Amino acid sequence: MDLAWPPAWRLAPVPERLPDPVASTGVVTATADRVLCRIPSVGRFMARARGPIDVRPERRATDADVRCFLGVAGTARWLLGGVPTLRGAAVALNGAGVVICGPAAGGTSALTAALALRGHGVLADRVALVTGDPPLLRRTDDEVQLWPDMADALDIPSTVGRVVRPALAKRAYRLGPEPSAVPLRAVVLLPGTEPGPVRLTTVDGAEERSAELHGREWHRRLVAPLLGKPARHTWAASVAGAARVLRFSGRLHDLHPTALAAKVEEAFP
Amino acid sequence: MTGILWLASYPKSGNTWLRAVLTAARSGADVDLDALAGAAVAASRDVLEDLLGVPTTDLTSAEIDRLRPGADDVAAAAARSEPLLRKIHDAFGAEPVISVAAAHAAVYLVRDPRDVAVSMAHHSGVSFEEAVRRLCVPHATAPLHPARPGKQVRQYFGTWSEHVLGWVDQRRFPVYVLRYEDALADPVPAFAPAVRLAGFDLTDEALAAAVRRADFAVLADLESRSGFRERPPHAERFFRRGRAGGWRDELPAALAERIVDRHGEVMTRFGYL
Repeated sequence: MDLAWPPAWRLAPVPERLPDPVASTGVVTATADRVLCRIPSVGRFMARARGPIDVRPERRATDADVRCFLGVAGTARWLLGGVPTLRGAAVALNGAGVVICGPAAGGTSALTAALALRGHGVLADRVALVTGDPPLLRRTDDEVQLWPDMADALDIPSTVGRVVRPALAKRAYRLGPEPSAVPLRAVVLLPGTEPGPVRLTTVDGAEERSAELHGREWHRRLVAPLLGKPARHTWAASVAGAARVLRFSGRLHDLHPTALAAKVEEAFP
Repeated sequence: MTGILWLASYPKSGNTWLRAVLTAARSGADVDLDALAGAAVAASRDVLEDLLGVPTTDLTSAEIDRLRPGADDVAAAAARSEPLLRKIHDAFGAEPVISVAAAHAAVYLVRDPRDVAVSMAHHSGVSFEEAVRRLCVPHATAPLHPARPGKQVRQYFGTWSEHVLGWVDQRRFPVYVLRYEDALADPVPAFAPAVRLAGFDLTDEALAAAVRRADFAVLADLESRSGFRERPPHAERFFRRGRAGGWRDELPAALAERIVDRHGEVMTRFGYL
């Protein structure tokens, strides 16, 4: 399985539909050997287990628009090859691989950027790739995407960021050292809003840890149909067996990402 | 009888109460505020990302609007013996952000806009003036000026009148219009059609029990004991007063008149003037 990231792609014809899908979401349709992603205004992406991703861009789509969505097709392609991924960021924290998962727009990138600014290497911002047994956390993204207000809050000049998509204000930044793969040690979960002070607690129980991981898979609705339930379970059990799962509770948005990063550091002395 | 039963309303019009009643009607048990029927609003970024399979923060608001009906189709496909309940605050416009094909029906909650303004001011931590302005801004959306994506994608509200008429007068699927004030005055007959649309077969006695379990005082007590995740950080409480006509005690007369000037026609139609 080719685990290079970002995935290779080429301009090629892509059908509008796939016959006899085994699973689909609003954007992604999957058969046993192909995945079709349709992004309005951007284009259609077709992935197979091997080879580059075929892209048929919309007329006004830019190169940056296409590259922005390669992750959607790329993670689906890995699923076809039997490799699930987690929706999340990841850092190498004192030699420990730590995945950070959270709700959409929930602050994972901000926390990752804050950790990077404190000297920890970024392994992922969007696609956390964990393979092998014992599980190894591999590097995917080398940038962290931040919206302008968060870049300001972290004193990062927005002028140094790469444009992610011309239509979006967020920028991608290279921050911190550049680590290689490290053993997975923990998955940190950022919740939505909850009452109470900010705390970091351990999730006990292998089944509960596995359930937390299943809820954070890329293409969660496609994993079981494409991977099969046993393989999905084996992967989650392996990750949950090797990694601590830590959950933040409390009103995280009251806390500056740097203060949150300090709390994560405390857990990995 | 599958598809989506939309629990639709302008914000601060009693949607959570409706969901609590339906939750109690379905379970026959006490209400758990963390497990309300139709819990995640249709504009929830998390829910949409799960249904769509793409990070919505990579999409523009216009692109998300185009994809949202497809998310409903995916959600509705999972509905089996009874409709899927989904809360929504978006207006129903000429180009709806919901899937009409996936819609089973809608329950539309309407409330006196003067009470809506008061409730919104407390809920959102804004002045009465600002709350009234929001009810009157043509083509209003939320969030108004996002610095970055929030927990919900952009929602189109329109004015209060646009919102009400958009849902109530559409003819593409059945809609039951439920006046908040009627539900307060005589809840069992008011909620009964909503419960039937949800596919729950309840006697009047069972529905009365569900209404008691979702009584405002009960919900307020649950919130005070265990909290409620939908309470915004700046609001003291989510369940504040839950009564009709409270605007007379709080809303300055000039602001009440401004609402009547702007929304008088629709207010008259629904018995508020």
